[in-house]
Amino acid sequence: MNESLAAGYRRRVRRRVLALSGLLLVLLICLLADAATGPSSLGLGQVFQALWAPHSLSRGQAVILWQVRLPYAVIGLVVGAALGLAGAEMQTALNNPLASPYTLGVSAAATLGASLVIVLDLHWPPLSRTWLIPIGAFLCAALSVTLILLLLRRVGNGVEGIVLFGIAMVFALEAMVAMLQFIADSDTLQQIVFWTFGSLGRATWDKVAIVAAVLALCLPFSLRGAWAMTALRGGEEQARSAGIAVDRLRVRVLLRVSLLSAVAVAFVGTIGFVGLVAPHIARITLGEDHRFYLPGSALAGALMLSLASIASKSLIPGLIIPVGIVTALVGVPLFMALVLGQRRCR
Amino acid sequence: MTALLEIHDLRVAYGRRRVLHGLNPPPLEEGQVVALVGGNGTGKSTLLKALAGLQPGTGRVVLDGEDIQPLNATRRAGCLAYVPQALPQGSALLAYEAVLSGSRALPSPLNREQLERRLAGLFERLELTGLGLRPLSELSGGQRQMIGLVQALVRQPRLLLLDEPTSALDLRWQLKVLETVRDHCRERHSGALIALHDLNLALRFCDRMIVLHDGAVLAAGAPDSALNADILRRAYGVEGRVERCSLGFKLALADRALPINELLREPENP
Repeated sequence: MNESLAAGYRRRVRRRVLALSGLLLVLLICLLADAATGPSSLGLGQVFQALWAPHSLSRGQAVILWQVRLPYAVIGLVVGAALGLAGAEMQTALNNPLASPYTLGVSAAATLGASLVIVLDLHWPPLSRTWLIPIGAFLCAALSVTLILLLLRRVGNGVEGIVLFGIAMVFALEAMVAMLQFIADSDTLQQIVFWTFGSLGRATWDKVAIVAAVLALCLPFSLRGAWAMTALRGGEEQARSAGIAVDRLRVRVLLRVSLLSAVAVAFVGTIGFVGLVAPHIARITLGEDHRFYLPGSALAGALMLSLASIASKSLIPGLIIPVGIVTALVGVPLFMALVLGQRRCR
Repeated sequence: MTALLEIHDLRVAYGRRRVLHGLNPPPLEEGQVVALVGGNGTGKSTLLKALAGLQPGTGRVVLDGEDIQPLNATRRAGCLAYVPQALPQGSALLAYEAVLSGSRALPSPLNREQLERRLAGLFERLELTGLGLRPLSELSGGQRQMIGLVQALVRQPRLLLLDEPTSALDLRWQLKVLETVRDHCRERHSGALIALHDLNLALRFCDRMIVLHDGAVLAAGAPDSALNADILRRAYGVEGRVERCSLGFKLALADRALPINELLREPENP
């Protein structure tokens, strides 16, 4: 009987590894499908062939694939993964299933930071704008996270207090962004509107590299704290009593969240739904062992944004709808199907 | 007997509200199980949290001869374990994971096989093996309470601090939990301080009793002497007495609570 509990758990772990691998495979298929979707005739077969033999495409097709479609598809993946990971870490750290970079105002703060850099036309010679905008977004996101941390210290981690504070922050920050839009000229206004819609349209390999680098920087630290985060889900007081420095863990998580959401928002604008729902999808499919839940949330976020990206190019032929508009339309049915499927299995 | 835990002048306040007013209970000896009893809001849970380092306080708390009061909860974890009344309800963690994660989050002297063996032994001892692979969200309040106990026992602490560990359990499991805690303390020469509302369980399983009232120690000592008629009246507002029976001691109570004006009256000198 002793053997069977440990053995049964190991079986569960193997099943989760398989589920993660399956999710990764589906994601790769979606990436190819996304790269093959668009107004010009460049089908899945050609894309697949071009990846093995780059010279099989004409010069025009190669530009479309390598300079337009692939950066568009890949930035969707990395931003989705960043938002999924940030949402998962935030929900655990705040012990709140409604927490996400969007609901707690971190995304709105990052939008304000990016808008400030654009409207005030800030320049700093050592850095190009590609870097200044995310830095502005990060600083504002970090400020909003600091406010959340101060609130946590004052009132504990009650669900109501934090969510109410987050909603209030979203309103206040959106009002500030609206004020900036009001005083901005028409060109600047157009740039700010881009952030607020959430769009993959201006993706370049530089931006992909920055988001991917931040994700690659954060993920190992997230995984290093996976056991502690798992223990936190087993009860905060037990975790503290077991010797886990919960306050320090929380600060580190929220710093990672601000970094991830800042770069995501800086390059594609506000995409609200992914950070909230991707962790729930991962929780349903993989459980809450954070060794699987965290990468699972990242993969679920990437999958959601990849599907949304395909839908954004397919819903109205010849027109690319900003992905932020489509995300919820794609994500809600996916999420509801999972929730209903899980209920039916019980 | 060697003193395991000594508490000197422990004071705790929530903001301006003082909850514990300089506690000096008798020392807890190795192998002893001590019940912490008293009415609602008298400071039982606060005392346990203060000892665990989860609630700041002043005074001296000496465990195994070392003052642990300057240490935070993280540094106290090596020698004591605190179990709150309930584990989170909405967690999708498996019961086994909830226990395993606490042990794997920090460096442990045990390798994986040793930890798995210890875990399996505890699940078996508390007859929880069948629940190990079920999510916490699917367990009853009582079952989650028992998983909380396993989380503490797996660390083999010198001192167990249990806050109402039987509040959601039926009769059989109440006995099972307290029997396990008592055996654990005897076998490992460790100690347990348990907040309990059920005085019959406290009388049956505990070696000593501390009665708290208004944040101070009202009485302390062997169960039959600490819980006399006067203490019952002052701590709980009931008429009753502890009687000897074939299984040890039991509580005999009058069938009504005393009116509040009688409780406020100072006891008459004999």
